[in-house]
Amino acid sequence: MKNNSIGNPIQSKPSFNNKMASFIKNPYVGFILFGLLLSLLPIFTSLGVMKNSTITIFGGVLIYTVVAIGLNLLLGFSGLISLGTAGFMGLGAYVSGYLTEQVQIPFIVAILITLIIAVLISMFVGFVSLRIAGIYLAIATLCVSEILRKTFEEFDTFTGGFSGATASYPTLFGIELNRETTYLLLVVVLIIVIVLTHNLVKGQFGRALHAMRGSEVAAQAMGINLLKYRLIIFALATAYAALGGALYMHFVKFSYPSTWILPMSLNILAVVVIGGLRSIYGTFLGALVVFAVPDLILKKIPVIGGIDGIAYIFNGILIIIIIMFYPQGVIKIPNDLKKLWKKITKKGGKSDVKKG
Amino acid sequence: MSKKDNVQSTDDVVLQLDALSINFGGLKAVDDLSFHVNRKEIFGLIGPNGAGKTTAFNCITQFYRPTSGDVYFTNKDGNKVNLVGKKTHDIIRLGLVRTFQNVEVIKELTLIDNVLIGGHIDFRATAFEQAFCLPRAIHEEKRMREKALDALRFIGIEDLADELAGGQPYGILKKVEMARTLMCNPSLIILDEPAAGLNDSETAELTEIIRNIRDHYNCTILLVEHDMRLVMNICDRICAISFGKFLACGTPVEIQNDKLVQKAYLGEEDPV
Repeated sequence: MKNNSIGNPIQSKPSFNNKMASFIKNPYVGFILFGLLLSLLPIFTSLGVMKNSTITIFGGVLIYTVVAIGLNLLLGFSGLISLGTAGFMGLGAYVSGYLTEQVQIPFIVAILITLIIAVLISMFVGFVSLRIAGIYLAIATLCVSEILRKTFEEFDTFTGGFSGATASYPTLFGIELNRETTYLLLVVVLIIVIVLTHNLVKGQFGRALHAMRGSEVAAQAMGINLLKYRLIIFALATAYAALGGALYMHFVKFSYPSTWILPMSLNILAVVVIGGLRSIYGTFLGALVVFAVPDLILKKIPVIGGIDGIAYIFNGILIIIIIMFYPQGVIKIPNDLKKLWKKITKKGGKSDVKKG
Repeated sequence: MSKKDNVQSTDDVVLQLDALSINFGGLKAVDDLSFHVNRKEIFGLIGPNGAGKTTAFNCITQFYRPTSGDVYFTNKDGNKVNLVGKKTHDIIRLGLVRTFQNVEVIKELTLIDNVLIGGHIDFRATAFEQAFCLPRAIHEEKRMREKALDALRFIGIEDLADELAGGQPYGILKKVEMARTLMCNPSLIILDEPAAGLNDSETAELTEIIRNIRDHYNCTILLVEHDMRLVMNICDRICAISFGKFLACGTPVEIQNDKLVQKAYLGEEDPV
């Protein structure tokens, strides 16, 4: 949530520099720049610098970032784990796909209805399982996820059963999007999600969550209703997952029940752990590592790339390493490198003093 | 025991414990405890280690459910409410707020954000309004931030407002907790060992702060404390308990001269 990598402003014009510094420090500017950076990708592919398939991979990363931000809110702030992320993503995919393709509802309306359905289901699940703290939400969401997967398989009039459902690229305000423009839509949605999440976390809602995580007794003494906030945050996480699923449906254009299974939920969990708890940019980095690195890099390595399920092996090893050495996630690595650099440069100058 | 201290509730009684008991298994942590606290009083609850002071506090603030007995609290409108059975997070809405024995401050937040948590019940904007930065959310945030800054200024640490709480010395964190209680316009503040872990000069400062809070914020203060100098110095009245049972209640001088209290603290006249 904090952007610490700000360069040193030049010393000549203080007033201008102050303005510049506060402009760069403004998180919203950072989010917009981040969005612009992401939207450069289609230009690279059209120039032939990158393969066309890179867009598909990066689009996936953006979708999973949206989903993982939701889980990061849940896990990072309340310590609750949801193992039903994949199920809720699938729900979003099928519902939005069905609404736009079969019922012919406009894309945005379909997304909204999808979110409402997801939130209602999460409210029900949450109300049953969140009254007791601890592992019960994980178990309940795991069950719901399995029920949803079975539903996707069996209700073939709605979902197409095992052969899956298809959808086309979204149509926005009468304009039919293609792969590149849908990718840009994903960037826009991601930035909106990031900004909203940032606002939420910075406000009283975020402080209440912080209080709950830091000290449940203090939170209660300050009048924070634990159940209410856990419910809201779980509903949010579910809404983000459903939104991600809906975007997936309209970007990848098909959905099989076998996509929305436990390993997907665990991958999203890995994104959060690897990226860094309570960090928005960290979540993106995590998604990049978990969902892009295997396809972009690992599979191109001669012998190792041929191993079946290399992505899982890679993620597993990575999670172990991260938890052992970087429990705060990869987002902390640049920070630590900076500190290390400062240490090295300082040591060079002061070593004599210390020894003396 | 309750006979000794059964002044009938008038408008001046803020808090009245009526035969409060709580058992943990076979252990009676608080046993038939009754006392009352008057408006604008600084009231001390003392007792040897394990006497059940903090447990009594937890029963008042409904962190524990008392096995029997009642806790009557007169809220700002002058209505008498029985706290027993109320939800823990609803207690503060009545105007009763507490601090904790081991400071419960959120390390990852700045001091002012920590204080703002104390104003939680006054935030009306929904999560939706906050996410979209709608006018009410922005105004509210600004207003509450001013108020939090006032509270910090009152305690004397406003210059640290934007520092992270993690890494601050214990004395500062104690003050942050105090400032946090001021955010909800309390009528009764319950302090659980406010001087624990503080040195002499910090304790002296604390004494001043507690008095100032009482006078400036027009509220009543109930505190549990081991530091006898602080208690005798600051309290208008004191209630002493031992093994969960009521011993004596009165002015500091009365308590100091009470035979039962002396026995509880110093033991019987018996070779050690």
